[in-house]
Amino acid sequence: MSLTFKADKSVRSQGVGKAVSRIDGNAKVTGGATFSADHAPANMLWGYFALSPVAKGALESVDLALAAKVPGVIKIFTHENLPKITPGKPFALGGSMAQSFVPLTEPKVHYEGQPVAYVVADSLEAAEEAAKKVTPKFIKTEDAAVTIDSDLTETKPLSAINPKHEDIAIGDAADAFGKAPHTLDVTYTTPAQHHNPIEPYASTAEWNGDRLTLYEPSQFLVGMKFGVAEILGIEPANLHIRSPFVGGAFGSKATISAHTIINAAVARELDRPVKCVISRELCFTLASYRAPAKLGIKMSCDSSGKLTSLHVDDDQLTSRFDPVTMNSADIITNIYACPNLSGLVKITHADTTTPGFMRAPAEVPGMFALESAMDELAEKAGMDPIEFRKVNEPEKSPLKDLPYSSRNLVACYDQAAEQFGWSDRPKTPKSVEKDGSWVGYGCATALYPVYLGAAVVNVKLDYEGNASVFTSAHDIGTGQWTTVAQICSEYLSLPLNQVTVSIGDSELPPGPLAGGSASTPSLARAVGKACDQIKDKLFKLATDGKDSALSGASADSLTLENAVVKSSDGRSVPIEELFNKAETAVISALGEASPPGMGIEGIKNHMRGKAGYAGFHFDGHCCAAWGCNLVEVHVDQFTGEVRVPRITGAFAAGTIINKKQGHSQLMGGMIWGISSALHEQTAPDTNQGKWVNKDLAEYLIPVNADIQDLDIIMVPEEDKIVNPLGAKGIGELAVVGVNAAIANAVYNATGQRVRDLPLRLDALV
Amino acid sequence: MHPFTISKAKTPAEATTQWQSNNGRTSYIAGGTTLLDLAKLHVETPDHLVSLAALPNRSVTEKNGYFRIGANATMAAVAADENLQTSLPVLTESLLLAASSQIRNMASIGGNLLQRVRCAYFRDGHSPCNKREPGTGCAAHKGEHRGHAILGTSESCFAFHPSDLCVALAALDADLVIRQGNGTTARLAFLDLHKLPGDTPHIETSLKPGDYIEEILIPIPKSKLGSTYQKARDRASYQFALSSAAAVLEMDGDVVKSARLALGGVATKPWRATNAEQSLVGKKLTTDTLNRCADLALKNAQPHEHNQYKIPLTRGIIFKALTKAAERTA
Repeated sequence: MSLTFKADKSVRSQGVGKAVSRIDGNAKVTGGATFSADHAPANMLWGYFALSPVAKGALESVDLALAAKVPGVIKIFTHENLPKITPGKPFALGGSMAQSFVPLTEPKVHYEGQPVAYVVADSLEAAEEAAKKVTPKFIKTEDAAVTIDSDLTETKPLSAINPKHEDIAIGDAADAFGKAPHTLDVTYTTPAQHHNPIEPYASTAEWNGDRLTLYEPSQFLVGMKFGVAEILGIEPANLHIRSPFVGGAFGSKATISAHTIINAAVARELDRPVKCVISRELCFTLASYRAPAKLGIKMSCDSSGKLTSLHVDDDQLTSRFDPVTMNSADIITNIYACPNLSGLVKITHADTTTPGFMRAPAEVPGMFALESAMDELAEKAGMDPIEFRKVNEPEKSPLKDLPYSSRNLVACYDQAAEQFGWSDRPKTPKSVEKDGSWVGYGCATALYPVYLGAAVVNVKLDYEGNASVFTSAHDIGTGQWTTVAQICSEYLSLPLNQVTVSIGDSELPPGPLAGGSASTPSLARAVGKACDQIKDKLFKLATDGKDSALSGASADSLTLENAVVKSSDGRSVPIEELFNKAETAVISALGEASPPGMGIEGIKNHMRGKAGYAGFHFDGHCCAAWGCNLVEVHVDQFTGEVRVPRITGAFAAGTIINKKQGHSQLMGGMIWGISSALHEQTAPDTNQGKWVNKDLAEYLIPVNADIQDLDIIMVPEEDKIVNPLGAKGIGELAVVGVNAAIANAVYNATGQRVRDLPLRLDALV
Repeated sequence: MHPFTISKAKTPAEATTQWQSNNGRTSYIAGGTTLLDLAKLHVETPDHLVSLAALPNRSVTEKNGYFRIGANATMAAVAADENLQTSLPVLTESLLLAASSQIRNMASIGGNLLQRVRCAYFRDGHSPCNKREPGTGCAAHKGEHRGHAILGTSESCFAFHPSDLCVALAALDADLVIRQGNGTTARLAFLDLHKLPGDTPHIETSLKPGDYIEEILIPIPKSKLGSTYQKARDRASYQFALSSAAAVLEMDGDVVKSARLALGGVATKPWRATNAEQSLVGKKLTTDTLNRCADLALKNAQPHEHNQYKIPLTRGIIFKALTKAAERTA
């Protein structure tokens, strides 16, 4: 039985667009929400990974002598005795794994911090103690690298690896660059970052004969169900994954990581439930992360500020074994009007795990580069940076020449500038001082493409007007429980407190992947389809036959409101009468929404766990949410310390389903943006070829004292092209612009242009 | 974590007796905010702990011309002492700018003085580290060392001493009362507590096995002083210093009568900048005299590839601290 929530009776809200508190909020703040690691099946064991301190090498053996003596140890698994596992492809290359390599399946170490043994014991303490006593022995070790510029890494054009990839070439960017009066030719870098959701990776596996139950936080239950089943060689129908609550994910839990597979395989062999909670240290070398990126930008404009060329040289790091890139070039050449565009996408193989999707994966590095460059070129052209962007506002999407479903970037800038007081921007660096700090203002554009994934939902309506929605969607902290209820409440015109929601369980109809900010728009389409079928049935019952209640009324004159079907001529009938007529108490409908352009194949693939997306350009339009950030920074004149006293974000993202949750998401995105700009970096050791700050003491994120005034403007926007509800995703949008806005503000304050993140006092003092 | 036993001392005699009567690796524990972290990392693997948490030395008193701070007082309690706040803001500021409120509520003053370094290679438990495993080398030299020290460094070790409080104490000519392993007490100048790494970075203090710090003695100022602790870091709170300075000034009009300056975040031990501070005596605080002071403070600095910014940063911090301290003499 899956978990359900519905709004308290006292909640008076109905439909979308309101500020509504989370329907699962009480459970969360009273300890009633059980996360994956809270489950402790009877007779359970604990697993803990031992990690390699050496970055690269061929294993001779793994010395378990000391570890095996720790009281409580049941069994230790290494590449020599792990049950057979057949790894799959990574998600980014069409599979469902975080990466193609699964530790403990071969006698090799590919990166520092790689698991080399899995200790199972009767307590967490014993498992951990024993794991620390495991020593890998190497036949031979090799030098390793985790940075793009290392001599030990290998850089290739993406076109040489993937023949389907076409680099961008529109017009003649080199020629236009050569003729332009204002040019910029610079390189920007962004560092490795790791997701670090407050709930780490965790998995508890419980076998019952051939049936496996997993307690596991997931952003993509359908994908996990089919992927895990295939790798373990079991029937998907025999795998049940429970994931009602996810303590943050940000892209890290959309794919299957090695711990899930290894833990489940081990639990099967030992014939006891095993729980695995990943240490914070291992969160840095188990799975996905944001790869370091190096973006060369060559850009030019004419004397009126109009862009004449843009060339992007995009180089991102990946593992030795998976050619994965987030490809920022395809995003940032599609922002502003520019007749000559070129993009070269490269991949650099290094000794790390395979990177993946971390909140706005292509946009964060890409838009830091583009929006910093826009600020630099605006200054060369002698223009205000907002004005410079307005001059380059396109009529149609630059890459595909398609009209926008909606694009209200200019409105965002206008409203943000007014509210922020942009007109007070210091005219030159080091011209405004406050309390010993230089004051600077900066701006940057944010965008996030609209993506739509496949989704299947079941909606049931009973004779009293109580609705239930069933789908294996995921609440990764965004408030999905509540938005699903609101969407159903909107489509069936019922009070929110009459809608019960079941999500977060693989036994439910296959919900959308919670990624690409696509979950809510995708659900909106599927829930809409199911509700439309229910309404059609009711309308048919209301009008079919001469003695029917609304006989003679046409279907399009009918509406359903509060469990009453009404016709435009003033007649009405309670739905209970219609249910009686049909001799049924519940009407049920399945809503299937395939990504635009994919038809039934999109649904079929989804039901087999293969994710499919339409995004950015579909249905003859360019579809994205747009926004901007305006930032004030203070830079200490003596120390170069950067503080952000205030930041304004204006976003036009279609219908905001829940204003309260939407505000929280946008606020969270901006806070993460501050973190990304000023603090976050998984620091490389270029000598040992590894990450060094693998804990939250040294991997800095902002503390409360760093976050001051956050001002969010939701710019009204109607867009019926993206989906009937007009909902665009907002999960990633607000993190995108902040990096560049802060770097631009620091330039305005100090005259120092910092092109490498994180932006720290080292560069300013 | 390596399994350990723990005993609780109610008196100083019990503490030293319990320490002496246990074989194997024995440590004292007070607030535990450093020790337990390192135990979880397997960097510290004690077999037995003697808890000092129940000892009575936890108050701040004034006696015979000294503030006497019990080493068992929490950082939070000492930071909240109104007499210290009024008389020696450099001390209370150094506490309030350190750690988080949760840690300050837990950590003892004595433990603060003995906290160990933040070097990632010391803490990872397996990289070459002369401090953790003498003779294995130093992974930080060729590795990541943005936070490392530029003063008091050696080939063996250049990890910075992380305490903020110690920087203030270094400027305040503090003394320590040491409870020795044999049960007697002895007095030790604070500046003689910590040792430079030299070739023996694993020997961090002059305490002998079984010794613990019982009290900190700080001379009560006899005349009007201006003092402050200034700290630079990436985020606004909850981070160790990238550079910090404790400044204590006595002014005669706008001329410096006496000056004390200590640096943190940049040195392998709490760092008293004696020559630098002496250069200010008899002078006005001008850009020139402050520059000269900073030059002297950083004269022997040895930056590495990633921490060169600490030179200009420390100049900035010295300027800020001395300027602020002078304002407070008014």
